[in-house]
Amino acid sequence: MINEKDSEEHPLPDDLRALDEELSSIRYEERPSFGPELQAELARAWTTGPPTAVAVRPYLAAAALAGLLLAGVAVPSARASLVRILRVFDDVEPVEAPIRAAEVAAVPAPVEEARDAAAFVMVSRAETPAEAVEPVETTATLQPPIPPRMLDRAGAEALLQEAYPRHLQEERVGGLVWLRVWVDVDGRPSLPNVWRGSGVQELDVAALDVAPLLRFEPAVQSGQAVATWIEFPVLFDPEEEGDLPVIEPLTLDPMRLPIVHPRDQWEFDEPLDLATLPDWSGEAPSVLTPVESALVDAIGDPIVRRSLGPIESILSGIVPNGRAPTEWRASATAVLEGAMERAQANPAPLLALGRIRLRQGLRTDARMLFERGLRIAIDADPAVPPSVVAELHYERGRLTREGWLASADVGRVQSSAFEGRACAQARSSGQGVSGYASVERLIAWNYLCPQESSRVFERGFEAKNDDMADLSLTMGSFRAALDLVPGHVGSNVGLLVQLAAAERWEELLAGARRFARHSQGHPHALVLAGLALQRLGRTGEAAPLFDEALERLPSAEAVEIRDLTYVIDASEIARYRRLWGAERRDWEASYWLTRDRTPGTAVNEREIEHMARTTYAMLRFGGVMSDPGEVWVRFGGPKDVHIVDDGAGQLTEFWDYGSGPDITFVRRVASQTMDLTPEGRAYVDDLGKIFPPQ
Amino acid sequence: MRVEHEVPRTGRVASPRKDESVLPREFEAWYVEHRSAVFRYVRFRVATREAAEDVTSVVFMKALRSFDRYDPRRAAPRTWLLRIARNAVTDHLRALRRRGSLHVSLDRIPDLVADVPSQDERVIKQERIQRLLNGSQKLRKADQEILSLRYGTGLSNAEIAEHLDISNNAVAVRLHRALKRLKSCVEAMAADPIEDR
Repeated sequence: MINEKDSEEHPLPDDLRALDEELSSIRYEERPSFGPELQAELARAWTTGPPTAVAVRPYLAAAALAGLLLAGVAVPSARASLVRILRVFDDVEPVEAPIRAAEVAAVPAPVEEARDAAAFVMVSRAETPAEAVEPVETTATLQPPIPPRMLDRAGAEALLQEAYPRHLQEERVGGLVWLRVWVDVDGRPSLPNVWRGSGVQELDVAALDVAPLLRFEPAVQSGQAVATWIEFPVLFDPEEEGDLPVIEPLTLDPMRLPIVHPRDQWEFDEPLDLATLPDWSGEAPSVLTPVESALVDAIGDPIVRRSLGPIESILSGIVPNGRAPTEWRASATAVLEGAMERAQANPAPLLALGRIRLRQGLRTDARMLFERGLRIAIDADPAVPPSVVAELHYERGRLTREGWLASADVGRVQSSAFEGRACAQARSSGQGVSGYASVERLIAWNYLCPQESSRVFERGFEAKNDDMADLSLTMGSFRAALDLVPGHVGSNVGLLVQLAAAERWEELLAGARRFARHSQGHPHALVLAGLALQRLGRTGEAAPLFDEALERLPSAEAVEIRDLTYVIDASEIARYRRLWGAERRDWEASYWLTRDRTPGTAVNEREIEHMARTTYAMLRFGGVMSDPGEVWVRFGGPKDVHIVDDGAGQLTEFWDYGSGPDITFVRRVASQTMDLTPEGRAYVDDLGKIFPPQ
Repeated sequence: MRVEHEVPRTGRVASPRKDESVLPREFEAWYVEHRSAVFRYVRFRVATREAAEDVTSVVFMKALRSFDRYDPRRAAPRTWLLRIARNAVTDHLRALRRRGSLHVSLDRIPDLVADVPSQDERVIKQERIQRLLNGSQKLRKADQEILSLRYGTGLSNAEIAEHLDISNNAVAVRLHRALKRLKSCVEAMAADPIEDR
């Protein structure tokens, strides 16, 4: 808030004062470990020391000429235009003659360079900056430097292709832009500028915009990385170049909807015999080990690899304990990009780098990396271990599922559906966009006049055109992973939960049994089979599966599946949640004992139904202790669901349970997390009072 | 490319010894004192906490590398650091612009909260913060700068005046205009949810 003195001298009008107060009330929650981590990172950088004076051979002019003669790799584009980074860096041999001190003028880095504090650079080109000062002493025994080398050239060209202004492509305007970029000792580019323009300002700007995203292996002199300027040409070519190699876009065989697997692959007539399943000793290590080995092979140097911490961390993209995230991600990126260059037929580094990007929230980058990995795997088949390819398919499937979640079953309600309907209590008459009702109005009608509301939905709900391509691709990706590694846990769960959502219980049962067999009895396979059997009315068969799964699950998940928070009386919750271990299980057993509707039978049907619900909530909503998990466990699945897009980046789900109001949730686009709306929370709490848990 | 003088060339601070395993004492003091201000300044302008951490790291790394050329007669440490931060944010946003990743979506800003008592109000408040941040990204750079100094770093008018080397009065006028423009921008977004997307 503007402080008192400020506000006395420069009072704000009321409306702006409210905004000022609102902006002032924002709190910024800094991650507690960030400060110490960065401090440690700075101390390390300080100890290592910034780069000192370096010398760069006069390779640039020769490189420029050579670059003009050499063709690059073409990148496919929607229209036949091309962007190429002409091969300058890795095609030019450093000149072997020693540097003579007389040729070298030392100049302080221009003012811009000081920003990056890369100390001094020695250049011998004619364009030595005018502010050159007296030469500094150098020795005549300096080794010729190895110039910087661009990493991930294809990725860079793809970025440039994206930056190529569309209207220039259509007007067939192209040009050659020479960029000049400072590459520091870590290979990071900065201070990009146009050394020689194309004559078309928009092309120059496009190249400049992409320059900071490029990645390099730093120049090396006498075995040490050194910072330097480099110059390179970027060719924007609007003409079709049929003779250049064009990388085909990745083609997969996405599974067609509806979600079906050929019966012969999925049908297991005989029931699972728990006695034949091997003892459970955690997730099958055989799925992960070849992936780790592939990554170890690609990275090569064990010292470099160990410097990044455990191989599991590199593979999962999780920053090891005690490491500064920024520094670790930068180091891991450099190592993995180096591995990509070195082991070009091995996609494991792409998998690891994609996961790092995923954890940084860079989904597009991650997806590009996974798809490049798959392309490599397809080209290099069968040299790539199937588990590596399965992981790539799985990660890609997870990313496309996000896209599908944002569009599946989404629609809007036409305002005209309210005509002739009345809800006197509802004050909200907010108009949505272009003849569609606002979400506020729909929620108000839902809770105040539920019967009228359901008619409005019946009459006016208009589903958008579902783009099922993402679901098809998601399921196709999971399926492809399972074809390679039938016991792959993530892909099995992803696919089977989708079958459960579609209430395809027979197929779920067959799939879960198959999953169980191929994963040596993974507990998620057992609970999913139990869920299917319970829904098919075969509770007696489901009970031993749940029992076995509870033995095999990690304790936190077992506790979650048994949890009674949502079904016991509110007065008992606090006491129940204080219990732990055997005491808690005894309490749960006595709870179910008094609620067995058929005490004469071996199975408590209500208990099994409860575990079927918690299983679904856990695997579908990411946890029982979530708002949708709570509603699902308490009330089971809704009869119908309407998802309304409010046009402002969030989706509102209306779960229809029959005659009363729907229960409403809000979900951000591309997020799998759902929360009850405030009205939904109030309604669910009220329901708990009216209908105490049974 | 024009880049401001961030590194004065005279009146340098004493060059510290580099064989120490810890940061120079003076720099460490700056770090402790100003890290939070720099982080909040950056956080106001970038989409995620992770990005803010990355940019803050870049700022201090650059400052450390140029530390021995810092001239206390030219600018106070915080002013110097915030100036480096401004350039680092510009670089970051320029890089993102090409990727089309500037938009702030709610599930990416759980670290930005307001002092509200209940979970429900918190959700509503977060939505509002989302709108404000998205709105501020549509403003001119000068407006973004003054808003982030004020509401990110939490500087007073007098401190902003010193930082930008303008009068107190000019700060008040600029702030007033920036708030006004932000308000219109947010209202326009609310009236057109598609645009808000």
